[in-house]
Amino acid sequence: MADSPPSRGIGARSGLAAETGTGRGVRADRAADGSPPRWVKVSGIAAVVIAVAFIAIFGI
Amino acid sequence: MTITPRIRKLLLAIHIASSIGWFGAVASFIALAIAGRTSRDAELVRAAYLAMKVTAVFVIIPFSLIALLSGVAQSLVTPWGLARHYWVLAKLALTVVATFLLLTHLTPVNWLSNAAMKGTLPDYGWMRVQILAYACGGLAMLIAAFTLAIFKPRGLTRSGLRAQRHPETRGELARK
Repeated sequence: MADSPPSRGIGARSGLAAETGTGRGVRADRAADGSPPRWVKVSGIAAVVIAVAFIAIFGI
Repeated sequence: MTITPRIRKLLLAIHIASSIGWFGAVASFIALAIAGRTSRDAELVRAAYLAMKVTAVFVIIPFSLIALLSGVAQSLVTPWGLARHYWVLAKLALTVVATFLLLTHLTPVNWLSNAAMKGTLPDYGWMRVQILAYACGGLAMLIAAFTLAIFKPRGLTRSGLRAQRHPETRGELARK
C-alpha cells in the first residue's frame, strides 16, 4: 500500500509510530500519545526566556 | 470539510502573498526606524517617521490580518487542521502574537509621526529604540513562522492522533 511506511531498510519505522505514521523511530514512538515532541518543549522554553528578556529590556 | 484543489491553491497563494508582503513591509519599517534613529538630517528623520506610520497602517496591518485569516482558513479546510500538528499550532501562536504586538505598538509610531508632522521631534530617544527593537522581534517571529511552514517538523497533537485513527481522515493525513 502506498500510504504504509516501509518496514525495512532506509526510512523504516517501528512500534506505534509505524502504525500511526507519526514519525521516525523511537523518538516518534514516545510522542505517539500526543505529548509535545522535544522541539516543541525546547522552542517553547526558548520563546518564553526571550520574551521575558525582551520585555525586561525594552518594556511592553 | 473538503474543497477543490483550485480553491486550496488560491488560499495558499493568498496566504503566501500576504505573508511575503508582511515580511517585506516589516523589513522596510526597520530600515525607516534605523534611518529615524541614526540620521542627523532632520528632514530625513521626519520623513522616516511619517513613512513608518503610512507603512504600518496601509501595508503591515492589512497584510498581517490577511495572512492570519487565510492561514486559519487554509488549516480548517485542508487535512492539516488547526490543532492536529504542533507546527501548525506554533505558527498560529507566532502569527497571533506578532499581529497583537503590531496593533498594540502603533501608539508610539503615531506619536512620532504626529510630532514629525508638526515639525517638532522632541527627544523620544528610548521610544525610537523600542520601536526598532519590536520591529526586529516581529521580523524574527516571521522568519520562525516561515521556517516552521517549510520544514513542518513532526509531532501530532492528541486531536491529530484521534483524527488520524478515524477512518475518514486517516487517508488524507497519510497523503500529507
